[in-house]
Parts: sequence; structure tokens; C-alpha cells
Amino acid sequence: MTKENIDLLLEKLAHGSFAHELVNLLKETERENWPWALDELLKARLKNKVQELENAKNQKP
Amino acid sequence: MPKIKSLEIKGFRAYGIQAQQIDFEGLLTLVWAPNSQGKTSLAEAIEFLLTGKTVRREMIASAKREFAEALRNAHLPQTEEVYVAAHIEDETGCVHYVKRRLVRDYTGRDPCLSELEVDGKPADNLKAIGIHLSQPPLEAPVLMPHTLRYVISTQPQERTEYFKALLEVSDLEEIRDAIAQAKNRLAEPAYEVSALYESCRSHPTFGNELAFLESIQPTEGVVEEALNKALARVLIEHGDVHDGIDARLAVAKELLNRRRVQTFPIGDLLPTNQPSWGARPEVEPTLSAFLRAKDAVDKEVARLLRLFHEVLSLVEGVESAVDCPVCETPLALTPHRLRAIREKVEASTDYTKHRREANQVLSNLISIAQNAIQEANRACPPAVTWQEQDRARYMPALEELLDDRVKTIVSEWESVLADLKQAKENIKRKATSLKETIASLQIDDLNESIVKHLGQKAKQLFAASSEFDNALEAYKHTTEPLIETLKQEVDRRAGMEGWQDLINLCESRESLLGWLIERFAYQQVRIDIDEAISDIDAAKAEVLDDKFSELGQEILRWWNLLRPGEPTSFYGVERGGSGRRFIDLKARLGHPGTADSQGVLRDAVAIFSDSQLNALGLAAFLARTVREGNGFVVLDDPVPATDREHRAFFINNVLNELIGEGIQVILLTHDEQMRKDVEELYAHVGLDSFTITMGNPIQGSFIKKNRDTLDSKLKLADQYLSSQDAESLKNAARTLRDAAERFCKLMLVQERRKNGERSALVTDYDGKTLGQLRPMVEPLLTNNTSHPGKLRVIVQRLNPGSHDHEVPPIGDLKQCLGDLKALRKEYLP
Repeated sequence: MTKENIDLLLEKLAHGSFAHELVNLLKETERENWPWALDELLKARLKNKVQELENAKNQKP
Repeated sequence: MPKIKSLEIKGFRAYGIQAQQIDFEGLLTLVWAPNSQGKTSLAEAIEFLLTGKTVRREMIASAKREFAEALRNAHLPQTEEVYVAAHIEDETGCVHYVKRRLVRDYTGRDPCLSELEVDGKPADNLKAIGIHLSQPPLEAPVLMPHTLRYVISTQPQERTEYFKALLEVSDLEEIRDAIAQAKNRLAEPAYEVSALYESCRSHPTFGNELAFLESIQPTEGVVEEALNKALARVLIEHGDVHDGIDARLAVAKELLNRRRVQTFPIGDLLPTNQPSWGARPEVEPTLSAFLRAKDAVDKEVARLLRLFHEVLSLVEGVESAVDCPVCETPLALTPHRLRAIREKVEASTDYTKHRREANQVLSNLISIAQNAIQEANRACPPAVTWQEQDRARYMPALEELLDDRVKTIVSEWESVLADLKQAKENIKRKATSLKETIASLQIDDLNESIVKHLGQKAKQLFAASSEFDNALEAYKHTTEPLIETLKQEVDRRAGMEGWQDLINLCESRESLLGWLIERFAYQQVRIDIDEAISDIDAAKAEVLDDKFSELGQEILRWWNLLRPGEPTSFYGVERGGSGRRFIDLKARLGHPGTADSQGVLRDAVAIFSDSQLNALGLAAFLARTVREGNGFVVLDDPVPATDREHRAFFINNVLNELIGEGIQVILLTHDEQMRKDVEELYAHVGLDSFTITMGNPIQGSFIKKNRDTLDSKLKLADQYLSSQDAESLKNAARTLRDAAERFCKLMLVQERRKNGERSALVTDYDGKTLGQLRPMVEPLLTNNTSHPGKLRVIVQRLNPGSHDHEVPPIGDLKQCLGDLKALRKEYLP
């Protein structure tokens, strides 16, 4: 991945968006570690979502 | 920019055991060869040196098998090394020796292996000397006919990949693909309750009540509400519907059980308990240890009797005393004294501990035996105790319920039930026998024989317990489908199908909520990823648009050099849709007088002729070469020999442009006309010209430098003049006359090209004599007033040279050589 291309892509993405977060993660990660880095990010995101839902599970419908 | 200064090939494809070398002195090198002489092998050798592979195999995926053993010359002895080496000058002017050795050729399936060295040291690539490869498939700046055709004739999607590679944007796809693959790797939460939920969800009566759980944030209240409504749905036909999930659940269970019992006592078939046999004591080791301890005590008592003799002798008034057997003291050992001695001995050994443990083992065995009988009874289903009247009542009901399935299912069940019953009886027998044996024993009666007997009894009981476990497991396994079938049938007849699942789901609602929460979160994350990919696609499309616009302009520049002034021309590169799968090459259909911005746009691949498509492929490749800052480019038959008009534009415009930009061009051609034209037109720029021949395939291709350019003619004449014999002087005169003619023709071509006539060629003056050329050239020699006169003298002196019997004096010839060299330096730099 050339830095130039990934930077161009980041410029086109809304800062703070999930897409920006994902691409920025890949920019900061060696190519061979992409799968591991992405898996960790998605697992953490899933864990956070589950925790949010757990915290709200007593809410009345 | 890096330049190749020399190339050496040995054993590679058409090249044989004798290494062939080419020195590249100028920016333009021409290599001519008829077909099948080793020309493309030379191009592929450079590609192999740079990349370690040949793109032809990579591009033609179906032909991988055909490329087995393709790189090593078939006639080369196996002991001979195969390599391609080069001297490469980097940007700083430093020359490096680069060598790639073939370690293993292609097999039908596997790629080749090679070792690369730079200045004698192992290297992975050539980045250190400034050579950066492009993205696949065309990584090296080497264009061969098959790669040129590939660009045009390949499938649209592959063409898309090629142009993305040109733009170095294939990596943008990698980002998208990596994220999409990560999404697929994200594991969906797996809960046992999910199957139960799916079963309930598809129930025709209450399934819809659960449906909204899939579209709403799951909470305890939401889950309870859904289950409550589902229960209400099933209970509504059975009278009052109680408020609250627990009340409804209790009613549903009661109704279901009642109906099942009324129809058939399914519970009688169910094992009621999993037996717990308790810990198994070490019977024989423990009791044997006790026996050993007891024996030790007896021996110690005997020994100590002597030691206690003196003490015993002091004690008087003992009744029923006996004589001491050791010291023969009459009646010294009274019962009281003996007990005292024994107590002391017992207290000083492990005897007490072992006796306690032996007692414990015996006690445990009794408990275990009693427990085994109870556990076996408790574990067995009530059907084990069915009497004849029970069988007479239930078996017909079973047959009626199961209909034609009864024969196989029931007979299997009866078989395992009988096995279980037998296992239970066996336990009872073994346990009772063990209990009775222990009850008849006193611990002090124990001996080795009794201990062994007890151990065997205990083992028999333990074995019977294990057999019961197996029989129970077989019973459960065999009975499970029977019970499920019975339940379904009973529930179906009662109109209660699916009730059990709903009851189970209600009782697992905590687990259900956990699963729903994880599933909802999982779905939300997947939606987030999809949205992110969509955003990335949109951003990528914008990046592609920007880059395509730049690339389109660069391709157009080369197109205009190759095919100036044509009404149908290349227009640009555009993405089709997102650009992920398709990239369109647009052509502009104009007519004379149409402005560049006007005309109808069409797909270039569809409307271009073969010649135009060839030009487009070449223009695209050259655009990349310039774009990526390659210092050199290898072009193997870039223009079809039949395409005369565009060959001229290529020679005049494209080569000139490349050289003008400082790019080294290694031009390979089988086209004789192209060779002639290039040699004539670029002689003044220090053209290197070579010919490849292959007389004998076993010896391989040979590369020979051509010597008929202006400089080589002058150099040859110089050599002839170093010898003063008549034959050499005659050759010198003839060579100088040829050189003078060449000089005149080159001058005329140069002048015409200066005036915008870019298609001017040396061959335009074929057939003109030196005398005819001189008057046309003299007016062009304006740098010094003496120059026209010098040319006139040269022509006068050399013209007689055409007659073999009249050779000019050596002094005149040397003067001509010096003047020609000066004029060449002055006017053809």
C-alpha cells in the first residue's frame, strides 16, 4: 500500500466516520498484520456494542 | 533514472551455454532478429532479471502447465548455471553488478525460484539501486507483443485490473477487500437457544409474536413481552389467560403434562436420574496395608518382651501368669503386663492408622453397596418396573400412537430396556453379596485370603456400575427418538405442537436475551461495516476519477504522437460504475474540423481497429513508463510490421520523445524496415545496433553488434588507414565514401525534421549518389564558411574511389576522415 493512495482515500472520507477509522487503522498497520488488526478492531466494536446493550437491557420497552 | 549499461545472458530460454553480452552505450539500442531467433527471450531475460519471473505465464493462467521447464534452455547440460546479469547505473552514476540465477525452473504447478545478487550480495529486489517494480501483472518496464495484446484482448475485468495497476491503485481494492473479508470472519454468536428460538419463530400460532424481537433492541422487557404474548396465543383456546409470564408458563406446563399423561405416560420411558456411584475406595491396598501393620506389631511385641523382662520381673501378684519364654522367668508374663506391652507397641507404630483406615474401607464398601442399589433403582425409568397389566395397557396405546413406526422403534426400545433392567439386577446381586460378606467379618479376622476375596467382590460391584452406566447411555440414546416422536404425536393430537419448545424457550429466557443482545450487536457491526465499505467505495471512486483523468491525459499525449490528426482518437479513461469491476476506455469519433472537445464518445475497445487498439495498448504502457519515472523501457515489436504508417510515427515521434525525456529505449524488432529506418534516423544519437541469430538451437542464440552506422563506418575507415597496403586503402576509400553519403543523408533528414517533417527518413534518399547529395547539403553547412568547401573536397577526393583502380593517396584519405569527423561532430551532435 502506497502511503499516497491511502492518504488520498483518507482525504475523501469523513473524519470520525467508521470508514475513516478503518482505513486509518490500515494505514498505521503493516500489510501482513491487516487481518489481525481488523479482527481485533471489529471484535472490540462488537464487545462495546454488546456491553451497551447489556447496560440497557433493563430498560422498559 | 537508472540505466542498463550491459546485459549478459547464459542458458536462459533461447540462449545457450556460451554467455551472450550486450553493451548499451547510448540511450537507444536496436536489436534486430528474424522470428524465433531469441529476440523475445532477450526481453524476457530482462524481465526475469528484474522480477524473477515471466509475466507471460502469470497472464495466461490456463497455460501454467505449459510453462513447465520453460526458462532453462532445453539443450543446456544440467550442471550449467542459468543466469541473467547486468551492469546498471543508478541515479548517482554509480554502476552496480546485478545477477539473477535460476535455482528452480517452473513446474506444471509451482513458480520458479531464483537468487538475486547486487554487487555480489544477496538481495530481495532492486530498490536499493533505484529500480522500483510496478504493480502486477506488468511489473517490469518490458512490453512484449503478448503483453500488449493482453491489455486489449483480455476480459473487461482483467483489463480493469491492468489499468488499476497502471495507476498503482490496485492497493485501494486491497483495503476494501481486507475489510470485507474481516466482516466475513466476524463470527456470528452461537447459542444453543438459537435453534429453539428458530423453531418457535416458525410456529404458525405464536411465531409472529416473536418476530419483532429481530428488529428491536433486545431488553428484558421486550423478550418477556414477546414470550408472554406467545404464551397467551397458545393458552387462549384453553380458557382464561392469566396475567404474567410465570403464571402463563405454569398453566401451559400443567396443560401440556396433563394432556400427555392422559394420552400416554411418556414420563415412564424417561430415565429419572443420573446415578452417582460415589468414590471407589482402594480396597485391597488399604486392607493389605492393615495386615502388614498388624504383622509388624506381632513381631515387635515378641522383640520387646525381652526388653520388658526386667520390668515385668519387678511386678508381683499377677494372676494366671506365665513363664517368660526368653529368660525362663517362671510366670513373669501376666495378662495385664502383656496388654500393657501391646498397647505401647501399638501406640508406637502405624498400626492404629491402618486399622482405622481398614475399618473405614469396610464401612465405605457397605455404604457404596447400599447406594449402588438405590442409585440404579432411581436412575431407571418407571417402565422398568411395568407389570404385565401395565404392558397390556400401554403397549397397544404405543402401537396406536406410533402407527407403522412401532416395529422398529419399539423393538429397539424394549431391547435396551431389558438390558437396563438386567444391569440393575446385576448391581443388586453384587451389592448384596458384598454387604453380606462384610457383615460376617470382624476386622481382626482379616487375612490375605479374605482381603483378596473382598477386593474381588468390590471390583465386581464397580464393574456392574460401569455396565449399568453403559446400559443407561444406550437406553437414552435409543429412546430419545422414541420419546421425541411420542411427544410430537401426543402434542399433535392434543393440538399442542410446539408448546414444549415455547415452554423451554420461556424457561431459557435469560439465555435467549443474551443471544439476542449478541446477535443484535453483531448485526449492528455488520451494518456499520457495510456502510464503511460503501463510504470507501465512494471515496475510492473519487480517487480513481482524479487518477484516471491524469492517466487519460498522459495516454492521449502518446496517442497523439502515434496517430496524429486522426478523426477517431482516444478520449480518456473512465470508470464503469464504481470502477471496482469495470474501467472504460473511451474513444472520440470526430470528423475533419471537429474540435477536440466535440465528437461522439464510444467504447474504444468496441470501435477501434486492431491497429488502433495496438496503439492504445502501447500508449497506455508508455504513459505508465513516464508516470513511474522508469529510466529505461524494453519494447519488443511494439508496432506491427504491416502497419507502415504508424511505424513511421513510432520511429519519428515516440522514440524521439522517449529519448528526449532521457529514457533509455531497448527496441527489439523482427521488422527489417524498422531496423533500417531506426538505424538511419538515430545514427547521430549514438545508436547501438545488434543482430540476434541462432544457427544451431543446441548452441543457442548469438548476439552480434552491427557496424554500418556513420560512427562505425568512420571507425572502420580509421582502422583501414592504419594499414598502408593497397587493399586496405581501397577499403578505406569505399568506407569513407559510404560514410560521406550517410553524413549527407542524415543532414538532409535532420533539416526536414527541423522544419516539421517528422516522417523524414534516410531511406528517402536511397539511390542518390554522393555527387547528387552534395549540392543539397552544402547550403546547410553554415556554422563555418569553410565547411561547404570541405565537403566539396571530400566528395571530389572520394568519388574516384568508386573505381577500384584509382585509390586516393593515404594523405588525402586521412584528410577526408578528419574533415568528416569534424563535420559530423559539428552538425550531428
